[in-house]
Amino acid sequence: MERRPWTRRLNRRLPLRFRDLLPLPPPPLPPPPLAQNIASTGDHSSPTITSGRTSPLHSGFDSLRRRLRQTFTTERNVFGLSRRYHALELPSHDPEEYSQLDELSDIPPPSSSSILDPPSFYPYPNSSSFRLGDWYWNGGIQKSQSSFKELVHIVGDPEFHPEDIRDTNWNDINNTLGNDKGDEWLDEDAGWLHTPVTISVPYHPRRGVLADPHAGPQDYTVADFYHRNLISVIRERLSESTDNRHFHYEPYELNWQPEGMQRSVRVHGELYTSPAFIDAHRDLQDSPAEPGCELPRVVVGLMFSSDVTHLTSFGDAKLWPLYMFFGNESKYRRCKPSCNVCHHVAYFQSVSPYPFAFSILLIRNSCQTRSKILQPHRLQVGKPRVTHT
Amino acid sequence: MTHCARELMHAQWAILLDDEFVEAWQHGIVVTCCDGIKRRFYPRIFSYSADYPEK
Repeated sequence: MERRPWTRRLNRRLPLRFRDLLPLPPPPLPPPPLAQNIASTGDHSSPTITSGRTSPLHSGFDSLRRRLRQTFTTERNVFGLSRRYHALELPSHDPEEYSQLDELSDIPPPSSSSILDPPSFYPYPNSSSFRLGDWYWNGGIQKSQSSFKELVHIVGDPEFHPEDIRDTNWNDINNTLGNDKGDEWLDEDAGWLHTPVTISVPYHPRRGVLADPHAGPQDYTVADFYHRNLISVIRERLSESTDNRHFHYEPYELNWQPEGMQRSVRVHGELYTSPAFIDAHRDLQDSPAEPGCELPRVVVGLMFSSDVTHLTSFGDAKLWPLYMFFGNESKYRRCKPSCNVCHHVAYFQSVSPYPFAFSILLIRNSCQTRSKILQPHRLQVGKPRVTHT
Repeated sequence: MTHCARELMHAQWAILLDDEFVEAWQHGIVVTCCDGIKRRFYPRIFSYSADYPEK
């Protein structure tokens, strides 16, 4: 029996159930001039601006209602998803334009730009010099067999080029290394504030003990509360030029209507497609504008999260950070640490049962009190002494 | 103890949500975005997922 050539097999398509479609961003917006000229055509597959009323109404209330009903729907994409904006005009900025495949899926991108960038060996001029310098500084103080083998390994490597190190100015490089004050870390506290927190701790004299003149609420000051100014974090984020293109200024409804389905189904996934965000956006647009201000008004959706974080495997060193995310960002970006969209805004102080200041306060206020604990010499001496407390 | 933990937490949030934040909440802050358009931003808090550190 004659065998079929292998090439024919390559042309076969996978059965439908094994075929996979790559993720796609929501459907794009039409170009602005097109949207301006669109009338209500009734064709749901094309972008339409639909208005609840056709007759012009002049009262403010009706114009408001008309504005609320004004929606804008994009075309459906291959998955049957379409976007609907509650707005008169197209959004001025469409973040979905910038969505890339690697932001929509966890498939690693085919090529990385880091391959193209030559690695930097600063302050060493090249790889050979760096490896020698590394051996010299990090190879231990004394000569040893293993250190010698390392040196032989470096010099014997085919990647090692003697001509690279011939002109290397070792003194200059070592001076540069010695004078490195770590300038890039000097500013690590920038924007962080220390604020002492004072709370009032109520104290009620215990039964059977004479009333203490110092009884009653006492102030307890917790050491520095480490935090950032929220508004400055928001400002910094909004004016960032590189990452801001993924920021959704206007919410929209995401609807799903596959072929053959009569009604569309609302898709819930992002904060900027949620009813809560759309309501907040609508409330803001309906509220009176700032006097003399015609700027577009945008909701910044803040999402806070916080949990205790243990810092060590053994011991109880811990922090209580407060993180802030922007809900205007896609969750697919928020979950990636490399996108840098999570902001540390505070480190909460917690009331430990045994901090020094707090214990003193408790002791001062607790029953037995002052005469026995804070003035122990009274007991030792045996006769009353004048003490200053 | 519970009272103190709660008071401390609220005191710290009161510092975070300071007058400047309330002002921005009510009247917005104007920021020039990367596309060159000035917009007035109003912060709104949508979610706060955290343990309540009272214990």
